[in-house]
Amino acid sequence: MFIIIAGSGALVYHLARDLRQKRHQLQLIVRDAEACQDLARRLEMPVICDDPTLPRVLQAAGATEADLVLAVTLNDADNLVICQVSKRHFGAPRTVALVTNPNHVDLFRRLGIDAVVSVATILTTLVEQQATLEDMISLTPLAEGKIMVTELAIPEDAPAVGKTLSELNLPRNALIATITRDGEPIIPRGDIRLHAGDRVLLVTKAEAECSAIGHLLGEAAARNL
Amino acid sequence: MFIIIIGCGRLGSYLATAFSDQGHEVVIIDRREDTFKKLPDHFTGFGIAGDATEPAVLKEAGVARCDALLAVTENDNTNIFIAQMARELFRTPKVMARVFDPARASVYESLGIEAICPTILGGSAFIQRLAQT
Repeated sequence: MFIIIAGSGALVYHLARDLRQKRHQLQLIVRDAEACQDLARRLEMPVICDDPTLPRVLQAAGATEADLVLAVTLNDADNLVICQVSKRHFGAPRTVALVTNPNHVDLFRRLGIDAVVSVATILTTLVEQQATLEDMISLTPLAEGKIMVTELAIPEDAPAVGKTLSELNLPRNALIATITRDGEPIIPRGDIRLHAGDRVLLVTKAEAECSAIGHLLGEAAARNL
Repeated sequence: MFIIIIGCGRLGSYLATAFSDQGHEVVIIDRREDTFKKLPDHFTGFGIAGDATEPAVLKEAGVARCDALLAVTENDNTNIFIAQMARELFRTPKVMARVFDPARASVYESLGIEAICPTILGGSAFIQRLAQT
């Protein structure tokens, strides 16, 4: 893929290094002259030193050819403009914006940005999760937080122990994607019975998450979410 | 009319004063409270100190019932962002943004945002005056 990355300093450096390793073709745009020279030297690649929100700069960077534009400056308005100009004026098929203010996530989506990443939202979700439920080892919001992926261990006293998946009566918007038992993955079917110690990968719509966890671990655990 | 103005710089304070003098209801928002010193004593509207890229601040200003919102901060992208937020989240009937960069203004005009470009307006005034001499 040909990817344009517009942003500042360290984040651009690490994104560029990782994506280049995955054999993507990159063009970086960084406004600050010093940061720009530093990046060009460390990555040994040309970096455009200019304002990435300007149409002529995006055009010079190749926005008409880009498969993906990543806008990762620390200014939400700048990231919106970078993505909108790339997508709607130059026809970039996919744009991703970083937002500092989590209240902007939904608005950016409505304004046509394909993916919006809020570091604050991700961290808040993780912290709340870690703090309240130790059995839950990972949790990832997808589709801007509308889909939750949660991995949880089934404790001995859980109401789900001994029930088949169909007896669990999970809410409609919840699905058990895999079960891991004694290190072996099991692809779930309705007649599989849950054992204590099973690790379950749960995929739910955000609004169904609490209820689904209640079905597996009990109401008390779900209330702590 | 009830008009919300974002940014109390030279243009924002000028517009706020003019609309207030015409008898319109005006709320002006700026991050820095000291900018409201530019407003004259006879200004009848309100100033709110806050960041207008935060939806809660626009709500506090009464965006839900305003007739027009003019985004005239010193920053093009902030203006473009706030204008779209008013239009998309609050269905503000009339939204305009000041955009200094002519290329950017023309891109957003084509996307349906009313972008007023002082560079083009000022430039044409100079050209016209010179043609008259």
